[in-house]
Amino acid sequence: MSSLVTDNARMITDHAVQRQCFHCQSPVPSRLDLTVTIDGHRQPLCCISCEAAVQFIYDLHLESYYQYREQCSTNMVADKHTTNAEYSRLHKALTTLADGRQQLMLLIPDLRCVACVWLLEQVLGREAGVSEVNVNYATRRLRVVFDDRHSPATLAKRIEGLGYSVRADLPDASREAFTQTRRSLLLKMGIAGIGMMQVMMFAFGDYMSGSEMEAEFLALLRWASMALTTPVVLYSAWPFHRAAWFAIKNRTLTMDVPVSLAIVSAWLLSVFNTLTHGVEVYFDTACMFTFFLLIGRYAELLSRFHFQQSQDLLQHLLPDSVLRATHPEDTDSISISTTERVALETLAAGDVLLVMPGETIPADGLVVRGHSGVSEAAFTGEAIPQPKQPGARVLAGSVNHDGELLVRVKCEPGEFVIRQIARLNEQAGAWRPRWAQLADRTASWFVAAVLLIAAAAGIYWYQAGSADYLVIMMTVLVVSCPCALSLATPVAYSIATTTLRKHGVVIKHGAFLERAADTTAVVFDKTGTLTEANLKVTDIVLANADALHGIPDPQQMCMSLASALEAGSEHPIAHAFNAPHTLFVSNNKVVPGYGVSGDIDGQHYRLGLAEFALPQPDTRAPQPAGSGHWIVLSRQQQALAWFCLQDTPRAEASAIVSKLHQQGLRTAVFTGDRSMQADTIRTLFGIRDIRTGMSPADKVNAIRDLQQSARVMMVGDGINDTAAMAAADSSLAVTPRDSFVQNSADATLLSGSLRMLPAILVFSRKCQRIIRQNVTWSVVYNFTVIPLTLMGLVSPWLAALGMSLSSVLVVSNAGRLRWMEH
Amino acid sequence: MSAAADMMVSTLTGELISAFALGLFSAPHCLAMCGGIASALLMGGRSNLLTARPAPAPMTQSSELIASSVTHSPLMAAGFSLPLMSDALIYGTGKIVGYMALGFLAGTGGFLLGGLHSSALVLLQALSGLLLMVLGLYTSGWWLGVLSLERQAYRLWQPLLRRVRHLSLKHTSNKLLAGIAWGLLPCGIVFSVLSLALASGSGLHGLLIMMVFGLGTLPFVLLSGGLLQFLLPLLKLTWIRQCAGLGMIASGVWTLVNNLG
Repeated sequence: MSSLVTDNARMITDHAVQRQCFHCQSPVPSRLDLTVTIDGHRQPLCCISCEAAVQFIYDLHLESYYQYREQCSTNMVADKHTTNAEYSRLHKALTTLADGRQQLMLLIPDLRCVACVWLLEQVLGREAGVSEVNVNYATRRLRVVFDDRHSPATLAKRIEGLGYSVRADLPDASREAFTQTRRSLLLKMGIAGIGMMQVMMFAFGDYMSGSEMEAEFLALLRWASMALTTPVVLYSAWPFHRAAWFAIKNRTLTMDVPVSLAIVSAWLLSVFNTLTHGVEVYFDTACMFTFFLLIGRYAELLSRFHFQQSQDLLQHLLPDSVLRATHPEDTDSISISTTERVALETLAAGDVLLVMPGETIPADGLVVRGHSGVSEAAFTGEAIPQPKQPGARVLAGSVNHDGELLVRVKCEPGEFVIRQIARLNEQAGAWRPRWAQLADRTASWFVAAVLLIAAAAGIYWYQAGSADYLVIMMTVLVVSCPCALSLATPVAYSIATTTLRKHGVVIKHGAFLERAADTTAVVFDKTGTLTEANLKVTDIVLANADALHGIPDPQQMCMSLASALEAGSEHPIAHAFNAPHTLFVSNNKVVPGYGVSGDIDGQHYRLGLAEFALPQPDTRAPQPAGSGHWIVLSRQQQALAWFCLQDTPRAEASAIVSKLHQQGLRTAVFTGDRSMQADTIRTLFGIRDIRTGMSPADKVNAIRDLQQSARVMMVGDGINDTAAMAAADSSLAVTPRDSFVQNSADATLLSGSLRMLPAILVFSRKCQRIIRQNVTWSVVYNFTVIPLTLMGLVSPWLAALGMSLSSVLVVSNAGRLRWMEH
Repeated sequence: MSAAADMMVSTLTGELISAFALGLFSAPHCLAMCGGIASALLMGGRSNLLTARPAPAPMTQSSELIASSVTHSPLMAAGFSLPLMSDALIYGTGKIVGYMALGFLAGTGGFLLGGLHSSALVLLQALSGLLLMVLGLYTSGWWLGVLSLERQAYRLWQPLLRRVRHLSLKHTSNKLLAGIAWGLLPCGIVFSVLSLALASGSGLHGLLIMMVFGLGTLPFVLLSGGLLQFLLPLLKLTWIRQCAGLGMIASGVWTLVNNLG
């Protein structure tokens, strides 16, 4: 059988002053001895229903609910901060920018609609001394940059004056504010729901009995309805009234104005008719409007919650405290006993940290001791650990799998790549297309029009003699609220940004998704994009047989000489010369752009471009024919050998290009270097349009030409082709993870691989399609329902239900962007 | 207006007022109890959230549910997310179907009883008034008599209910069955509404009354997971419980007086 034994035996319960029912957590009457034995513990129950419920839940093997509930309720106990404490926390969200201006990150928990975004941006933007204001509707974060004419407290007070509450944007603050909003919204919905059910029951009775109900019953029902509706209107619908009040106070109109007007007028009219025994009451209408509009709000909140949590996850990946070596200079002797535990935020560049196996690496830096596999899933979506050895770069947020690592911190915690990604992600998620911004700005005109139309409709139906003129008016007010329209874009963008980030694509400019969707031509910069930017010596041609006469392996000899000369250089070419050697070089010099020189055994050697290594062209040893980048090694200005350097193509590049062709896109390569000939590139990658040896200006012109007939996406490393990237419609950088910040592209592939490119293009089209569907749906919905309502064909409950379903539909449609095919 | 029609209207109003009183005064407990079940069902035994926990209690005869539960990330399971809504609707539908079946049975029973004797229906209404009073006494904590009624009813169909052990909540049909079983759980409030269905004296009316009742409970039972957290402190206040109890007793008395007087 089971360990669940119901036990009705009497037992003395002196210890239980106020026992709680195991299932429903209500108090158990003190005389009742009904218990259930779970895992050997007797738990009190309050009634047979709950006994049956426990049995039911265990029978369905859902008992983990009880444990989960306990976890939830402990999490619920969050400390609350008073407003004064909140002010003192504001300075924690303050950063000083490089140019001396201050940047404040605030959380506005009660941001209600995109019109609020516009209002905040306008009002703060007009303040003298404020140079930048961005409000992210999805995360409710406000970023403001200002100079010494303001302090955080004056700005916070200004925002509060507009009717919003302000919190310092610390990771915990957002979570806490979010939980609070969610709880209060649920409570409001619950109350509105209860009220609606009961009031509708009464209305149903009234309707069932036709007009035959006795006056005293009717009055009783009305009074009861009023008692139920009043808390719904005054408490549940409070957010609407409050928002509407502040909108009017600030002389704008937001969507809350007609909504609040409809609810309040339905309630006031009904109260009046109840008191005066008038003809009709609309308590059910007021309750329904409130309940269904709150459902719409809730759906929106959930989608925002998702984005918020994934944002928080980025922030919370890092541990709060780290093991820092007390004597960082002596790296060999560092062990756990010579470290101290310090807060992450106190780290500075140069600190040495000890990271144990299984821990999250807390800082960006270089490995100074130890070998381990490190998973960088947070950046690339790729969970397989990469080997790290001394000298390797590691990023905060990646997970150390096998070995103990000593890491030297490279930068301040605020500059960690993962934090930069979080910030960019947020900015990009907040981006709205130009037409959506226009819609926000014109929203108040739209609302004004709605108010006028509603009034006109009321007057028309009144003079037409319809008894329903008030209902029609109220329905128009509610039905025309463009809630779904205002959700259509921001929700989709915030979800799409998060999804891309999870697949290792960081968007820096919000317009990227929109423009990438229109792409018809993809231009690659060859070095580091189609190739790995990893040069190799593919050919050695000896130039001077006499000088090398008698040496057993002259090619090896030249290779050793070249490797010795290049040992002091960091140039990519230097990595190609890695032959072992025992030669000593004196006077080793790097001549940028040309090559290296040095003395070996008293003789002067040069390695580099022909004009550098051979001041007088050596007619006996001309540059060999053949593609590739040729450099020459000379001794006393006499050519010894020519080296051919070639880049390695990326393994996946040709497959990616053919996938792009399958999508019907044109491809091209615009590259500055000449090391690979057009034919070679063509055979390697299957791209037809190839131009080599281009200067940055040539690239820009070529892209402009291409833009005559196509929308161009430039794919490069984001460092060497800034101008071309700016000229293209959109740009994507394929770059090593730790240098992504410096690049100028709209988006960055953190995985350092082109594999995601076709998927990104497909995804961006999907994103635009979904936004278009959302916008179309909401516009069509609003513009068909408004005329029908004006004709009196839409009943209030249908209008309210349609509204909320429309919001839910838009949010769930955007939810499809959580998945990305690749 | 004929006297019969007059009585019909008055009866209906009486029923509605009783139903209202029931809903209003029992909502807190209903929320707490059914809300718990709803949350448990919707979490779908996502026990992978609790990996630190030892293996499930021995009563889990087959661990197939736990093994088969979809691996959701904690992110998804922590809050209600939209995909859960379809589950919620399935369970809710099942629950309403369960109620409707009960309502049909009760209504048919009332019809048969009404055929036996013309005053039977009046007596049944009086019965539902009494039931309300007993529930009120329980809610206020003054007399726990209603529990024995619940216990008897539970004994009656416990064997049937426990068949849910064999359900694995993977398939929609099983979810629907679990929902029906949920509807059949013994509950004083359901009994009271059932007594209304019984007193309606028609299978169809009984079915409709229970369906409306079920629809009414649906929206906020489904949303109650979070709501519970706010109501619990309220539920712990003795005076609130006593007020609710008094309210139920009063409406019970009212029903009695209305029907017998």
